Amino acid sequence: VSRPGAPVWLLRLAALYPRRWRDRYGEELAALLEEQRATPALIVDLLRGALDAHLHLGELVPEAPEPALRRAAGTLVQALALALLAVAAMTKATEDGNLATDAASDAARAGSALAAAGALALAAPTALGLLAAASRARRRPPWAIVGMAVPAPLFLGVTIGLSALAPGLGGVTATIAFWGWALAGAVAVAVTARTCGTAVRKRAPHELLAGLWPAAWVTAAGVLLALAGVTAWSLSALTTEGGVALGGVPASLIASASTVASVAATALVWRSVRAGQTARGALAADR
Amino acid sequence: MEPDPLAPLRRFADPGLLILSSLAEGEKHGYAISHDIERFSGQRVGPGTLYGALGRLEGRGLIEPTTPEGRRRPYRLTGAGRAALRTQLASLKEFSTIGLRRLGEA
Repeated sequence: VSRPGAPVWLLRLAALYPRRWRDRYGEELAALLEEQRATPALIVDLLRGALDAHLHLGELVPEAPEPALRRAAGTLVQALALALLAVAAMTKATEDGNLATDAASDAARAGSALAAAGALALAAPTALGLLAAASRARRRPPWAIVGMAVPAPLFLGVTIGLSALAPGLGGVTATIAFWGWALAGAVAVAVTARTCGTAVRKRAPHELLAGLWPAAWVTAAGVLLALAGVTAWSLSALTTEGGVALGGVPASLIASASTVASVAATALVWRSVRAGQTARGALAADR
Repeated sequence: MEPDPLAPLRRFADPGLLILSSLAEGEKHGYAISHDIERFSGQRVGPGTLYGALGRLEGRGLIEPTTPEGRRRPYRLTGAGRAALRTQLASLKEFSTIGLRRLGEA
């Protein structure tokens, strides 16, 4: 094959495309690129193509309904974790001040309760997925179970330990202990969400997920209500003068981060629930 | 008025029409399509745009892949693709005729 002007780095730009896209078109694209010269216009076109492939992957390389449904449920689990972190951060940021008494915080709490009810119903396929992962792990450690079962109790232990030590801590030590505790909580949520999300995506029975998808809508409704509350709550905290400092960081900064997390989680929840609904419809049509 | 079958392709509608026109004379792989389009229209369609349009045309059943030739995979028009191309070209012909008539050149 002649290579008039295809440097290796140009071929590597193909790695910016999503994996599913590369599985389908990657070889063809590489063969085409080998015939091209690297020009700024070609690089821009390739980057635009990669962005388009990420944004419209379902349109460009449709996924079979079963994996699409499992992927949507897995993403929903991970979006729930992000929403949980946003709500927890806002609750903590404002608990010492007078910012947590308005309707927005009530909406966030009510939404969280609704989301928790839906998530409990969705826990069944997660649990089955984890059990399937564990049974397939055979001699290897069943990381799925470890990832789900260990972080939360570990974090609870850390919380109890720090609560006992807290009265004796002061100054910089107390600040470090607080942020260590907050980081441990975020890591525990992230590890649990990743483990559960992966188990659902790879192993959850799609028939069960299809049957339980109405629970995903309940969860999404709760999450969206909670996140709308958190966003309004964060914005009200941002505009309140003299925001309370939390562990040395102004509450307004935490409120900003919480707002960003809320918006990202809202987009993820909405996208995953709609994608799951489409996949569920396709499954029903196949039968 | 008939619905435009290429409308959902958005910014890929024009490359889509060029690809359909290229495949109207027979099956071609990506490089041959892009070379042919440049030859008959003077437009360079970059690889990102080309595969964005190919994916959408394939997804809508207007083209289909054939047996791969090594790493290259040729595409050909489907019946729906041929009909969509015919509709588009008829519309363009009508547009062109009206425009030229108004210029007093037809």
